[in-house]
Parts: sequence; C-alpha cells; structure tokens
Amino acid sequence: MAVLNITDLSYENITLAYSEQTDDDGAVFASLQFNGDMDMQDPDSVFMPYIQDIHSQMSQNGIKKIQLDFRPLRFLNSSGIKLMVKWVQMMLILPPDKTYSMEILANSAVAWQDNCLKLLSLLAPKLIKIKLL
Amino acid sequence: MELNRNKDAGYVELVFGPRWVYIATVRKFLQNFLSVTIGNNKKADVISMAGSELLENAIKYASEEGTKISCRYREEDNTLTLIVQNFSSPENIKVLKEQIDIVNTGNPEEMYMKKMMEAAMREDGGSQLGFARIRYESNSEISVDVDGDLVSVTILFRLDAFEGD
Ligand SMILES: Nc1ncnc2c1ncn2[C@@H]1O[C@H](COP(=O)(O)OP(=O)(O)OP(=O)(O)O)[C@@H](O)[C@H]1O
Ligand SMILES: [Mg+2]
Repeated sequence: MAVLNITDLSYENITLAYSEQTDDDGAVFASLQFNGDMDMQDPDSVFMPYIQDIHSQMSQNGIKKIQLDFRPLRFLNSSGIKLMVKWVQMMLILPPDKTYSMEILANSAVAWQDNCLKLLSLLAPKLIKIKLL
Repeated sequence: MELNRNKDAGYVELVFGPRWVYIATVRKFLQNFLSVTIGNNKKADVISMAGSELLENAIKYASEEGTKISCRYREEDNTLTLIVQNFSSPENIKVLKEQIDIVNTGNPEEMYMKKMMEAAMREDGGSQLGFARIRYESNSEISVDVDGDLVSVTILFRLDAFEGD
C-alpha cells in the first residue's frame, strides 16, 4: 500500500511515473521518473498542480525524500526548467520540520542533464543532491 | 534560389509554418544533421537544444506566420552559426534586445543562476531563461539583427569552447 495517493501523469510526449521505495534504514521515499520530452509551451498548467499535490502530501505524511530520475528524459525546455526551479522554491519556504530533500539522478553523457541539473541543485545545496550516473 | 555555393562543410536551411508541433521534429533533425556534420553527439545535443529554444521564441513572439532556421558549419575555424528568423512587434523586439544585452554580460553561470532565481518569482508565464541557458550550456555568443519587423537571432558556437564527448 503506497503512503501517498499519487498516480502517474502522461501528457503529450511525457510521462511522469510515480513510485515509492525504501532506503537502507527502512524509511519510505518517493520517486518520480521523467520519460520522454518535456517541450510544451506551458508546462506549468499541466504539471504544477501535480507537483503541488506531491509536495503537500509529502510534507503532510512526513516523507523526507523524493528521488527525481531524469535519465530517461531526452529534452527539457527552459519552461520546464522554470517548473523545477519553482518546485525548489516551494521546498525552501517550508518550515525545517516539514521539509524534505531531493535526490536528482542525471545521465552525465547527456549535456543538458549534466549542466542544467547541476545548477538546479546549487539553488538549494542543503536540500538537493545530484547523482551523475 | 541560392544553393550552397561557398562550399561550407555543412549547411542546412529550413522554412516552416510557425506551429509548436514542428519544433520537436526540427530539433531532432538538427541533432542528426549536426552529429553527422561535427561528429560529436554531446555538442550536437547542446546546439540542437539552443535551436529548439530559439524556435520556441520565434513562434511565441511572432507577429505573423513564417520561421526560418539556418545552420552553417565552418571547418577552417571550427565554428557553427545558427540563425533563426521571424517577424515580431516593436514591443517584443525592444525586450529581445534588452534581454540579449543583459544575458551577454558577466559570467554565464552566474547570469543563469540569477535568471533562475528571478524566474521562480514570476507569475506571468514568462521565464526569460532561454538565452541565459543557451549561453551557459555552450559558452556561445548571442546577437540580434533587426530589419523593420524581421528579427534574426544569431548564435555563434565555437566548438572548442564547450564540452563534448
Ligand atoms: N524571436 C523573437 N522575436 C521577438 N522577441 C523575442 C524573440 N526571442 C525572444 N524574444 C523576447 O526576449 C525575451 C527573452 O527570451 P528568452 O528565450 O530568454 O525567455 P522566454 O522565452 O521569455 O522564456 P523561456 O525561454 O525561459 O521559456 C522574451 O521574453 C521575448 O520578449
Ligand atoms: Mg524562450
């Protein structure tokens, strides 16, 4: 039984696949895998409500980490980057006991993943870790 | 029609109707074309990403139909020039020139960080991250040329100035 009530989301060329995993200490963490191309004109309207839902359910249920797997994502436009920046912004304004961390999985062979995701993690170095695989 | 007489090592030009759905197709074509031309997948990715960002702009800020993208590789100095053209309004052209001036100043990474923080605060749908991202990822030179309502945005990539594979 999943802790959070989140389903997958598909829109145009992209699918966000949600799952939950358990870390070495037995703590449940959320996981979101990005598949396809995020290249629509206005990703906010489709993805912001979904992200807000994950965000609030995580802080309500005390889930302390989300893993974002970008490796299967071929392309992310600048509007998609803005979406991610807004997510980080939401994490930063939560009180410390309600907040959670983010672990970004990126493919070091893909230029934008290496470049852009690294910089995203610098926006909140205490909360975001990046793993270049 | 002028064919490619000047014997550049790789040249392509596409004119297409400004419809969002074509951007992905053109980006993928450009990626393939550039992999063949410059023989480096990672660099081809960076340049086709930049082309995609420019095409998004050319469609978002167009005042009338018509978008042209051209791409020219020069073997002698290992540079690649990407040009995207569209028609636009004086208001957008003004912002465009200002933004290119802003983005071209200072360290590309610092500028991009600054733009990301500004983008997070905006509520109007715009994000103004595109040019900053291009410059950060490719260390390229961005310029704009305006002739009446015709806008040409040019990016000059020095292929030795950014990381490849
Ligand atoms: N081809 C163009 N014709 C007219 N105006 C343009 C053109 N390209 C860009 N602009 C203007 O320059 C601004 C900056 O462009 P930039 O690509 O950096 O950001 P954006 O398109 O606003 O947002 P993002 O690319 O992050 O989704 C735009 O907001 C627009 O006003
Ligand atoms: Mg743009």
